[in-house]
Amino acid sequence: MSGIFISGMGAVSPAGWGVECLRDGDLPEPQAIARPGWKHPLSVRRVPAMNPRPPWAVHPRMRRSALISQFAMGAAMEALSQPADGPLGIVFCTTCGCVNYSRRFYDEVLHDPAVASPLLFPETVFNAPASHLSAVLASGAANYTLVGDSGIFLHGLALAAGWLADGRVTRCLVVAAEEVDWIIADALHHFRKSAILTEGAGALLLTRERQPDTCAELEYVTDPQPFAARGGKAVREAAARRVAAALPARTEATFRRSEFDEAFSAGTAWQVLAALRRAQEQQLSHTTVIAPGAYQEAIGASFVLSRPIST
Amino acid sequence: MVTGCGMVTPLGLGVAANTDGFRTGQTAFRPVTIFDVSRQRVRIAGEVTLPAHLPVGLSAPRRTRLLDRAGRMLLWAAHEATQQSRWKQASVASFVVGTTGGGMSLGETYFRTALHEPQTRRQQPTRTIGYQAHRQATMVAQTCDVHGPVTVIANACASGANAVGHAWELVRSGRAERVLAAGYDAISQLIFAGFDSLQALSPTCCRPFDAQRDGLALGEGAAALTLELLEAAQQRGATILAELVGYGAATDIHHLTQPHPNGDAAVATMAEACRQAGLEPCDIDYVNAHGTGTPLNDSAEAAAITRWAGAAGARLPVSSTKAGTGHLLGAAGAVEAVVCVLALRGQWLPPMPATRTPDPACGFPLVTQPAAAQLTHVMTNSFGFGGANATLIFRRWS
Repeated sequence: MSGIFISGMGAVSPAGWGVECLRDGDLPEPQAIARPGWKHPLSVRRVPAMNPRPPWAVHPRMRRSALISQFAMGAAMEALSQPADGPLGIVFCTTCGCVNYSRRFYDEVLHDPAVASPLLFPETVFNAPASHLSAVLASGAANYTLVGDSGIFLHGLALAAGWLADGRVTRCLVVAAEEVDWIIADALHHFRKSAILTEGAGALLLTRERQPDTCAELEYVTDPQPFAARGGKAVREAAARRVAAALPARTEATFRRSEFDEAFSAGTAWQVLAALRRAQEQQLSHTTVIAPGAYQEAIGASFVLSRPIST
Repeated sequence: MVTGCGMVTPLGLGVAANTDGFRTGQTAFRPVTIFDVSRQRVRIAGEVTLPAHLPVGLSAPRRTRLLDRAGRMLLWAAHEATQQSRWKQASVASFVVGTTGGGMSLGETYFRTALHEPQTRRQQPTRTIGYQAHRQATMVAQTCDVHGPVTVIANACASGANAVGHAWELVRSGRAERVLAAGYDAISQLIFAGFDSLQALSPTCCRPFDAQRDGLALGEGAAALTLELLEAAQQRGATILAELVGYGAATDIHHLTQPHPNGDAAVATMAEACRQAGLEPCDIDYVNAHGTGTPLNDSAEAAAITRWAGAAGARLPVSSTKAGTGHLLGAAGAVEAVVCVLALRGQWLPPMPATRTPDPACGFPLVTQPAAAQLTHVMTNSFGFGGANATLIFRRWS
């Protein structure tokens, strides 16, 4: 996998819009989200409103788009801050997808399918955010949406690296995004009552050539190590250990997710950004990320640091 | 090389049960029974008759208890393909799956339960896990004794073709020795009501490329193909069914749900698939079109095929098998890939008898009656919401 460079990064999180917010901003206190039929609300962490609104927000595609699409766009635009030519591939990764519009549309269907809104339905499909990314970025190149456990962002990096290695594209944007909705907070509550559902996005721009903004090289992505969700923390940790064993032995630092609440695929993207930042701050030459998933599999990746991160 | 195929469609369970249906242009539409459609504009679809039992010989049938209707269709198709390929037990293989909804029916049940019985916990965690397409795919792989990375591609109605194409790229590049590729989707209330809300469903009958067409019919199903390199297949004496020789993928950025009227992205994927296969349009003997039967899709695809084929278009037979099964969404690309393999092996063209008056935009002959043909290379198109476009080309193996 050598020769695949990380040449741009972006993040949208409850701490704010931008990688710098993720780096320096304090996570806001959780907010309450009403859960129909329950006296007590659930806790979530939401992304603050865009201020000021960026130019892409007025693109026709974004007018009715779901929050997940807006988070993905914000992270992608930051990762693409440097102009470049050549076909741009897009790999969009998600665990829960466009759940807010899906829940709203299905709610309307249950009330009366004859009047369910045709405006909502198109935004329910998993690849709606990816489609908006391609449209706003005017990219007609290949565009995949991958759905999976929290580590799906690392799968996405591996897939993008394959496209670059094959010469299919010269740049590839890998974006992970999630949005908050009470139905997902409810589902999470069944498994971990203390977990706080969190929304946002993270993005990396992979290139075949080293760029002025290149900060690291993607060295390796492991095969996923499955575990049974019902096995609890022990089997999850065992899967993570198998991932660690599969990573290159010369790793200098290993970054495990702990400081983020449950943001599924976006959490893994933030994990990668944080790992790269810490490795850079500590002047390490290598770092690894292990993403033990929420319900199915663990996966890991290793990176070789190039030079200080420009941000 | 394709060494195994499996399929479940409204026409039947298994490749053998489907072959005659596709060859003769049978249709399989009936009133929807899975959920209430009394308030819908359209009330029919291509519903699969799924047996209560599971395929015989499964290595771990208990794992399947979390599978919903969609997952069980995927299991039938994957099991048939892996049995035909005769991969040895506990095969290490990647599994690439395309879907739009995964276990949507479980998600719908979860939501209804959460809404109407908010204090109920029973079965809700199980539905949460079972709903995940990735989890379903993993269960199916393990049940079929296939062990390796699982990738779920959700590129709307091109998902199945993207899954097959991605699997081909994994094998061709050496990133995987063998891959099980599949597409699956079941009819769900949300998706059915969604297409109905867009008035995309035909209130009469699905007639792809007919001048009087008025919409698509929804269907459900699954298909799977086992892909591996020629050397590996020959070494173990496998029967080679066909060769996958080209794959193109591109994105139509015109609109979230409507194709560009000129079909630019479709032209790009057909050209790219041909480039990879080292073929010209005149080398293609049949196109299995996306052909949903909606006015916008078929006119854009007709324009694209006509432009891409050029002079070769006048002799290029085209049809859409959605005329018989309906639009199988995430399964469509994989099912139509298997149809191409069947057509190559049987040397026939799948007809669409309901199409009577060809749209004048079609600069190519439409296959409306069963016909034999000499086929060496066949192409299949898949397009989806979000502008996902994909084209696959298969070559006859002899």
